[in-house]
Amino acid sequence: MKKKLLAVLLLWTSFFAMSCEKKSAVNSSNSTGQNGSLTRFIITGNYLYTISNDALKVYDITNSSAPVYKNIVQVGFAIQTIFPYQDKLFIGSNTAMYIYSTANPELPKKLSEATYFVRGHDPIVAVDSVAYSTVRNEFGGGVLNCFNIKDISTPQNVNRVGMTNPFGLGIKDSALYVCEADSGIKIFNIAKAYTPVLKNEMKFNETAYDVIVKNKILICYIKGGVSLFDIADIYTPALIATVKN
Amino acid sequence: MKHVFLTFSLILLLLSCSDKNNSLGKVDAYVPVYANMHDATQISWQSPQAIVNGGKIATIGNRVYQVEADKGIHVIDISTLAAPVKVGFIKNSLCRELSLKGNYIYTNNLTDLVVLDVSNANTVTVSSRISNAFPDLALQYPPATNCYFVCADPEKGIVIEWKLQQVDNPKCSR
Repeated sequence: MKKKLLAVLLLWTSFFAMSCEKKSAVNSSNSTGQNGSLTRFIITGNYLYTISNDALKVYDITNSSAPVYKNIVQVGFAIQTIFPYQDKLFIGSNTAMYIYSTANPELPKKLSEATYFVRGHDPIVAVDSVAYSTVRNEFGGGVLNCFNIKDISTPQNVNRVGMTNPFGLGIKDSALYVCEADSGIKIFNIAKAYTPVLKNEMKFNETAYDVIVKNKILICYIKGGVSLFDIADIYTPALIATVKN
Repeated sequence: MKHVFLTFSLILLLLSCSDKNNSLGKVDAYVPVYANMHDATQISWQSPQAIVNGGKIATIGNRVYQVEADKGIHVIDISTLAAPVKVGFIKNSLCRELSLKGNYIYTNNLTDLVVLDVSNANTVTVSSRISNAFPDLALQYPPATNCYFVCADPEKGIVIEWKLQQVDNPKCSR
């Protein structure tokens, strides 16, 4: 795992080096971008996966410029987010988290689902044997759910942490960033994966909705723009700049 | 006498309330903004625009892309982290989602899946289009519930926006 991460990091670094030389924002044709956790489109391997209200669609993008439609898979009612991790897809709906295997990438197969106790909106991130999902109630408040996914066929909701107004989330090593709209970003220590410990709260006069962890930078989707943070110290994001209006 | 008049008026008012066609008067209602198919499927590179209703983000290399709900995609250059700068705007009707691979943006245009090639500076070209991949994304209804709206008329074109305005007796509600 660590080696894999290192390889990815190295790849990124070499991209930066390359793009610096050329200065033309040209990317290698096979590199994949990163999405926030609120997305309905994701790319993993040579496939684009998209979700609509109730179904997952698969497109082969081996030829990047010409997607080939492969399959549609019925998932469940009111699905909203999709997150890829290794050979799994985590799909969040109003009421449940669904886990699909992409062992056959053209026809994802359902492994399991876990239903929530509260209805809400729910992006998901996963790493190793844990998945985190925020569920925001439509009438305020919400929770951060921790699922033990060691046995992928029976995810266990092992912990629930109360939140103020949770939206998207992201992970960097043992830091979990949870956007809380007007309440900024909460940073949890997840060294003990199933018991996140609140380390820091960062209010920065913006409404935070989602994050992307990009090496040592946290890119934050805020109301009306984007903020960049330095996360060299993973628990203490330092605001670098904001693009707004 | 005065009371009789008031009671009479009240009864009249009540009566008029029960008359569905004339009851509402001027109220806040969503009004569809139409575009013709040709215009709504045109995707073009434009100079940077204000981020008004910024949405989901994605990143690759030294760029961050942010959806402007239903309007397009802001292109932000972050090569200098301390001074990120908007370098352009990709006009794209009903844009909601995006994902990135190499020099390609996968996004929706109306309800179609489109692949946009952004390998050349300040240019965008549509590499491919798969029709009606996301029927859910059509703007059939306004972005709110418990509201009045002017019923969309497909004859007039594709709805690309809903604007809240004062309308005399809107016929639809949800």
